Amino acid sequence: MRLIWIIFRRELAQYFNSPIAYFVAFAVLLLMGFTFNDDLATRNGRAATDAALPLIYLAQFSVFFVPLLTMRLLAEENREGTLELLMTLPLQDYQIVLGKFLGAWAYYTILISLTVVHQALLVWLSPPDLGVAFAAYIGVWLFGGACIGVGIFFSALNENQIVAAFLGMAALLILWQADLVGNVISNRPLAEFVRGISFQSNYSYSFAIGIVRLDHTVFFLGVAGVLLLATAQIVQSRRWR
Amino acid sequence: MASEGQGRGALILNRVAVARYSSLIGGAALIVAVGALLASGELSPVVVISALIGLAGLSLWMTLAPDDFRSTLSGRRAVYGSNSALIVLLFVGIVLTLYAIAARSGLATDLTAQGYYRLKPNVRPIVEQLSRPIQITAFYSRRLLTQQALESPVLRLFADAAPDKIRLVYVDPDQQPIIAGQFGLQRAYGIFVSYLAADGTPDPNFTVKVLSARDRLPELPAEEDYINERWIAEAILQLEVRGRFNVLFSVGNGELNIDTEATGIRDGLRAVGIQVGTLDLSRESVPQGTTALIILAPTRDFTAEMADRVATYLNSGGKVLIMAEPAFRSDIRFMQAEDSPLAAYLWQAWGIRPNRDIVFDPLSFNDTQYYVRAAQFFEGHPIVQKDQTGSAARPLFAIAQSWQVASNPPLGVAVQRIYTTTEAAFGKLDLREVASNPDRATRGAADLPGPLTLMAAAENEITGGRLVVVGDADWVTNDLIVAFDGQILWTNTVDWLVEFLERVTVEPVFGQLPLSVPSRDLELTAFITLAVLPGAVLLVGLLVWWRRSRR
Repeated sequence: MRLIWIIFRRELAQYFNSPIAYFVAFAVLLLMGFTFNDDLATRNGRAATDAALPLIYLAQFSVFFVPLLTMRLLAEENREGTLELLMTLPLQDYQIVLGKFLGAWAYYTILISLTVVHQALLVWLSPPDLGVAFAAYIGVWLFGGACIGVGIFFSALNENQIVAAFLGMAALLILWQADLVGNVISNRPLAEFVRGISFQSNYSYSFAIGIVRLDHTVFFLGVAGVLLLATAQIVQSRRWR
Repeated sequence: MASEGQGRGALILNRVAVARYSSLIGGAALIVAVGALLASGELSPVVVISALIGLAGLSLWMTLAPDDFRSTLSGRRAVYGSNSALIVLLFVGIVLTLYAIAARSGLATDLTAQGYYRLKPNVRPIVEQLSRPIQITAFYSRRLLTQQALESPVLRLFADAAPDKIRLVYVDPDQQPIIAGQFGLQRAYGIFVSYLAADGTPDPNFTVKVLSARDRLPELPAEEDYINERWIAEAILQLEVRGRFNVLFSVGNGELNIDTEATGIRDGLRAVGIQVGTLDLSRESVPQGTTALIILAPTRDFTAEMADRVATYLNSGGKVLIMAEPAFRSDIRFMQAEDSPLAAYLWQAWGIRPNRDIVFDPLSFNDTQYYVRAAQFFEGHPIVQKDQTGSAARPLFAIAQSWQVASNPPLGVAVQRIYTTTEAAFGKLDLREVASNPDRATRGAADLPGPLTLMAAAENEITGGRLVVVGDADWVTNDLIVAFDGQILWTNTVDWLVEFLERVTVEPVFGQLPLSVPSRDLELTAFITLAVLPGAVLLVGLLVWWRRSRR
């Protein structure tokens, strides 16, 4: 546990010592600001506020920005050869992967906590259903964990950070859009299965409407777990390749 | 499978290289075959051809380079690689099992302040006190999987609340058109509640459609259609009250025939589960358990004995709808005589009597001005409600008589004028004059001045009896019921009379009020979320960058 903690602290510190993480956060908050204000202007005088909406947008943006956060985690270590150095230390492969994952997830948590400002503004304007907001936060946090799992997996597969980010984005976009699979696949059981593994269907129709469902919670934790295990196996494969 | 190519220079094609390329092509073709099979669900030509190419490729590899094939499967990388793959697959299996258990358990927490995803206190008893097991059949086509996901928490509320009494079944109407046809479903979407027959299948005779938003507001686009907890509960209630409402039509006095002239209203009642029958008041009294008695434009007047039977029924809390045509034909005598027993009773007990006139409204602007379009209505009365927007039904009465409503009705009786004419209307009392000049009426000194009451409703607050009178019956005939809001008026009248909606309506839960703030508040919000918050983060980022660049 102590070794995971050391890796975790190192990764988190790297985010805050690098301007990239701030620039990503700036871009995300700016985009959220635009959608948030546009939504408020549309609803004013017509509809009630929805506390989950900023977080649904954040989930959508996560598809694009999370791979930017995770692309360097293992790809950079791979390219610079520091992964071998890490592997010579008295560390298990899974500890390296878990430490890096938790570091990225902690950064993501800090980023979503900044959106509390949006919720505070909503409370000031017209108090929304805070129960929905709370459920949506739980959901977007779990959603982020699964996205980081996807990102770190592709980072382990590649030495090139750009390729890792691109593959991560593509995979996350497919997992998000899989919700609309019914329009494409005529085999209904398969369409339902694909929908079942869609990130959107596991977030937008439960957490984002105020329900915390056990199966959707297991889904996000399970996706992150499976991908972390697969990533650890990829890292370990360097020992026998 | 095949490892990397032979060299980095020119492409060298030898036996092993050909075998390895074959393995790659074969593997890819097999993946395509499996994908196509899963997507289409059938052995399509693409599946078969891809599978054949796949098998051919792998066979070629095994034939041309058996050593390469063997080493690929049993080499060091294969052993370690398959171990890794097995570990990951095992973990995937564990996760899938946990997911399936969690999904089956249905464990969920509703965090909404209003409890949107918990059964409301007025709905729970409906579910818990179901008389028989029911099935909720939810039809969603393949393209509506998202809508299914959105509505399934609401549908599951019912199934989870009484799993031994409520079964929830999803059906794709495109894949199972026969089942959809049994429910009379013509669309890609529809929810039905049914009692179960002896064989465990939904009983088509005891099935009620949940009225969706589009059924209530037909102009709503199909893609915006939805149902909610309240409407499902109302459909269950309608199912439960089936057979408990019994409406009788009086016969034997020249009334409109509901089996030939007014089948629409008969079928409409049956469609919502109300039992329909006939009653000859000259032979028998109104039986016990009758929810309402409808007197549909008799031509002959009721005898004193028949009027007594109606009075006994009404005085014991019965509900009666009387449609009385004016005497525009010589054979129409219903309540036209001064000493009509029924007319006398109505005036004495309810403060209502027919004026025995023919209404003429010059502002009606119809083919003939004896066709009177109701001009004014009692705002907010359930009988006039057209839809959820609050607009009122405006029926047309083809040759009508008006009603006199007592300014001081009998004790305990509340009478309301439901529809009236314009002030310019008048009631011709000299019916012979109307007959001699049917196309143009002129107002005489003796005629009744407008506005005249075309329809009235009364309620005895002591006995609970209800009475509705209308000065025309043509509007319920098959030809006219579909025009000028006739169907709405008929449904509303029966609903109010038999207290149908009061017994099957679930109180709505009101949501949040719309956002309503001045633009300066929105500007301040925009400033904070677009400038202050991202700007602060950017500033820290620039500071970090500046400090790093100075090192």
